[in-house]
Amino acid sequence: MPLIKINGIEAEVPAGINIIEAAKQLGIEIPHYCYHPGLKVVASCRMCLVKLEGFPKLVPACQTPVREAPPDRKVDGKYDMVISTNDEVVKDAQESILEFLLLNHPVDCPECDQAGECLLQDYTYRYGKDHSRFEFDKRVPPRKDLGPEVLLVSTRCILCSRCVRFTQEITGTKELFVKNRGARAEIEVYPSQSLDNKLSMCVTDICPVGALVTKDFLFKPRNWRYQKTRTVCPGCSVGCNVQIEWMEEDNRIYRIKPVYNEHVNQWWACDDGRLLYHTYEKLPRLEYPMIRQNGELQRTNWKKAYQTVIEGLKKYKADEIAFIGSGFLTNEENYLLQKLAREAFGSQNVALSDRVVKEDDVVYPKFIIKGEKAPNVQGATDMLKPSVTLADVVAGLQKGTIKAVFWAGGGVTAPLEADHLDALKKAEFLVVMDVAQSPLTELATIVLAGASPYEKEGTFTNYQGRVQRIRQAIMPPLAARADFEILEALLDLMDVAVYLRPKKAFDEIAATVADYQGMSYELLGELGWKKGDPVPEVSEAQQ
Amino acid sequence: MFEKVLTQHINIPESQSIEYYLKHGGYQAFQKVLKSMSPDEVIEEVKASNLRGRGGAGFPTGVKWGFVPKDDSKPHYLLVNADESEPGTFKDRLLINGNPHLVLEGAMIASFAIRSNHSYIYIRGEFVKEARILEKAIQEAYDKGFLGKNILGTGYNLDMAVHRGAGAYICGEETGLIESLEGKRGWPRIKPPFPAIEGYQHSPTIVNNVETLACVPSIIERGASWFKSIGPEQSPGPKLYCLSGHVKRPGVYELPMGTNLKEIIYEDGGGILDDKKLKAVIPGGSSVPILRADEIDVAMDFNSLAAIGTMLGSAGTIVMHEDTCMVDALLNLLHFYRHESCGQCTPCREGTNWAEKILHKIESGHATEKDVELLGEVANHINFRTICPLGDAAAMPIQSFLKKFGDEFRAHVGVGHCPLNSRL
Repeated sequence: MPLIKINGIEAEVPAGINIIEAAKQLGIEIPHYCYHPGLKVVASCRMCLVKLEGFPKLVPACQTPVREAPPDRKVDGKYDMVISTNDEVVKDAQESILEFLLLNHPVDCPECDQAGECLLQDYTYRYGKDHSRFEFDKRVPPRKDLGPEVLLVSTRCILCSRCVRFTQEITGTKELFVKNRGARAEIEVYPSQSLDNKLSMCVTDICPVGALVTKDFLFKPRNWRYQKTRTVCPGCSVGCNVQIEWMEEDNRIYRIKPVYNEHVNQWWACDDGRLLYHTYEKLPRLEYPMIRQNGELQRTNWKKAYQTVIEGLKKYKADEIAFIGSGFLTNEENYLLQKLAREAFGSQNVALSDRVVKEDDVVYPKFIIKGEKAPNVQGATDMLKPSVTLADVVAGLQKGTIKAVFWAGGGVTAPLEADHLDALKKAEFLVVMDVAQSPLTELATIVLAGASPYEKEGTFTNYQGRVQRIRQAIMPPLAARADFEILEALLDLMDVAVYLRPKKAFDEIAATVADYQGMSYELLGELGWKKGDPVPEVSEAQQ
Repeated sequence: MFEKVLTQHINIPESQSIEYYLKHGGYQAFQKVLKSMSPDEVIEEVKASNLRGRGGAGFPTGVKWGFVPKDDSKPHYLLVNADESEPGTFKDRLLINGNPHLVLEGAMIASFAIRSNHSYIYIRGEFVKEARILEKAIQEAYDKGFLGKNILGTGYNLDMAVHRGAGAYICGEETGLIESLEGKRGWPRIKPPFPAIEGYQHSPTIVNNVETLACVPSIIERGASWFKSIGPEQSPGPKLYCLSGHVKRPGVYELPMGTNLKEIIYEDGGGILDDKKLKAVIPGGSSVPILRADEIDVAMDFNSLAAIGTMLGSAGTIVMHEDTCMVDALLNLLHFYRHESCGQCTPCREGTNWAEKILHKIESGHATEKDVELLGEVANHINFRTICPLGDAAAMPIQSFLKKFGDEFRAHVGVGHCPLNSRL
């Protein structure tokens, strides 16, 4: 590996990576705007200029790869490259680029949603001047409504062209371009087009300043006021790594942003996934356990609900009871559900609900959005090892061979078809554990109020077989509980096992389920572990 | 006595036609190349001639051709840069007008040398008439069998076409030209890769200036040593000097490379307009550092001008007499560079815009000493920090005007108007 020296620090770094990445490995920040590791290098912002020994001009660090020097060209006889990022010339360049970028910038930080996570702010503090020498009228290009989710505040734009390259390279949809020349240049959407691809909000993530903003986050509270929870998006079976930004005081989600995971979503996430929290917010959520009395569902307490479930199910023979798992429940929950079926009640009627919204996959040049709109169908299959299908259960209900059903929902499922509802009407005893009121809860004998995927812990297994941790952001509403807790309590009452935490259930999964052997929360780390892969090295997640 | 090579037929009305060109020895060099030389021999001959690019940078043409890979499977492209738009420069236009087939023949030989079967002439959008002339000349060359399939029975194929630019100075920069030719915005590319390895359509590409290519047929015909005997050996050959500004006889003059600037102005140009005193000369097109009147006793070639801190550039020689306001002159140039900055990289996009505003303030007499200093600082912050040379091209005049005529800038401070009463 080439031996380089940056600011006097020596290190061997892999050939081929650029100087920005090399410096990062040494803990040295090289400020940059147009460079993004997921996009083509254009070296146009000139913020990353550094001094490279032997070169007459400053070189852009993003454009300059680390390489081996021939033996006679080594600096001081041993270094392949000697770089300075804090030489006076470099500092002068950094300060001047920031001065240039701020000439026409409105410095409207007090009303800008990007404030606090803005590279123009951050770098100006670190490398810039504290005053402007520009005394002329500033340019005021118009605000633009680029598409259904994204606004462009052109005055704040520094023309790094990341957004344009994103639509060229990642989605291939090419809605954006640069209009006009020189200082009049502006980002623009092509006439009669709209920035309406399914990943459109990603341009606001990669915009280093506050020029591109999402309509969803417009004028919401400052980003530093949020709690931030890293988890997995429940929108489809891709399992994008996301950060949920939420507030403790009102228990609400304010924004969901992608988090880098090289194996799953890189830097991206789809608009549907980011905005899915609104769907959950609008659901008529179940807030208490309920028992049907005199034909009406009545609010009850958990102790009574648990007892009623157990007493109710105990009245039936093992093969008269069916348990329906779900692709919205975590691995731990599905595992406990089948354990409740097989070990507590001796029933082999374990099925996986196929009530999952199915669309076509959306395939972009560098991203795929799965049409299977549930996060854990793969994991549910692994955990439940379904011995029957939902159709078998429906048939059993119609024939009268199945009389009691324990139904788990857990998320935004596809609506039940009429023949399902007809069959479920015939159930003598129907337990529904779900997040929202539905035609199904109307039929239920007992309703157990569960938690949404944003409200609980556990693991999901994505369509590739990658097992990833999900973490609780907000609390379930009122008395609703994580489905894990519900299932755990039932198993406890049946004297089968005590788990307390999903982690303990996962340890048991790791010991008993074939493809999950050897896994643990620690080893899943931030990036997850794909079934069948060698033990991953646990490392800090790259941001 | 110097014998004109490029412009000897220029003022003859029928000189545009292929018949006239053939009658005066046209396409002999191309036939010689096709029938008796290998591409490498052509490259070696041009290398030996020390021909240096006439577009402005002065890069040795043969060396450039030699960078093209010899055994790859990609198509190669020869692009003729006829996007002449540097203020003060008007030589390529004359060549296209007066001797289009000479340009075509040079392009054909260059194409053969770099093993290219496709050549495009990228011509400045405003040159409508010249584009038609070239299109007609290309058609004539096809008709006579100098272009097309199996040229003159030698098995060599070459197609040539004219592509008109859309009015951007930056498309004269070779990678901006390539982007534009590909149908994109004319934003210069970062290098490496250099066009000779990866240019038009990701394939090896050579971009040559019109005048450079016009020199090639005579090198082939008369030999490298003949060419080298004209002017200084390190940058030899006939050269077109574009003389404009305050001279009695402005125009394009074909003279040996290395002709003295003073001689060009006073003998060929007939001296200063109205017999006024000379104040300054921009020797090589608007982007090169300016010379004071006492600095013009210099040979007009790449090395001699570099030695006194300026450049031959495109040899666009702009003469200014004593009545010229240097602030106004610089403001004029900066207006151009601000308008033509492509907007891709920060220092040029923002810096040219800012510098023009400051200059405007100085010229109107409302500036302070600080503004004059600031102007110099802005130029220093642009220079050498951009992707393409347009940034430098805007910064160098500012730096040199301030260095050589700084007093005049300071004389504008606080006066409330231009002391020379020029434009504002």
